[in-house]
Amino acid sequence: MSSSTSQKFRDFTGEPLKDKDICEVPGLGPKLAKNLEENGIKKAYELLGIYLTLLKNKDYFELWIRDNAGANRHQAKQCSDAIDAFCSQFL
Amino acid sequence: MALKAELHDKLKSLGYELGPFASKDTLSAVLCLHSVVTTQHDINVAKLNDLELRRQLIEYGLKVGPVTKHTRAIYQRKLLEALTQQSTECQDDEVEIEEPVVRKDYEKKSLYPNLYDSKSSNYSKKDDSPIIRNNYKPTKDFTSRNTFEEVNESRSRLPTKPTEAKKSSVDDNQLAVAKNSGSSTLYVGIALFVAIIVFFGYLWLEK
Repeated sequence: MSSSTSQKFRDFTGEPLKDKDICEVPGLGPKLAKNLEENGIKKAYELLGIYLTLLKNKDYFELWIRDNAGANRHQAKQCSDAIDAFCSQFL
Repeated sequence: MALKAELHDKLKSLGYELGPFASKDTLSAVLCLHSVVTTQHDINVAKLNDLELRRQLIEYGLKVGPVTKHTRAIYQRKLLEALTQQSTECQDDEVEIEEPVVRKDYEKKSLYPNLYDSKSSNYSKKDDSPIIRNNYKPTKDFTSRNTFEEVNESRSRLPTKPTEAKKSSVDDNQLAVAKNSGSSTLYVGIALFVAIIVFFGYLWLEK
């Protein structure tokens, strides 16, 4: 049932990350992606790395996203949900 | 946001490198808890090296991964929270009022439900902040910050902003309503126009 997931979410969790950019992560729009890029994070797998370093703790990851990308709680939650879904699919 | 930059600088001089978009409330909470921890527990959380930080967190029962450049700030905050049993997670800064997303009440559960007893004494000025946020409610309480005067000064500047935020939200609501009624009248107009054309065409044919 995909009524609660967007196309972006389905695209993100349906296939390996490969070389996707930050802007393809659900929850992160162009402005947030730009904020992250200015901080030196350009690829989606870098976000995945941070998530894994935080031992897949969604709360901590959401805190990190809010502090480093300027996301609000909803966007951070979308992002962490997407990355968590990706992990459960592919890891 | 000179105030935010000041807070960032102060934290940096202490040894905390929180992310650039951390909210003012978070920054000031970290500052406050840091001073509480250094006086009460005699631990300088900012100066702990990565391994020490990790060891302390494990001692307090938190499951933590490696402390890297990215995760260090988060774990510092978590250690401060664990040592003082208070939260550093606060309300976001004011945002521009064009949020397309309907916000839900995320703060229904506190982060550490087992550690809180009843609510500790409220920080008096925190009551002003609900005016600023349109939909958030404050759920985290702080003990009084008498030890940290500068934070008190920064808080007194907050109430000047809410009126602007409220006005712009009211204006935006009015605009949205006007737009909606405008499009429906457009449809009605088009329907009437078509009906008139059909009517005249019928008359002309019947002549």
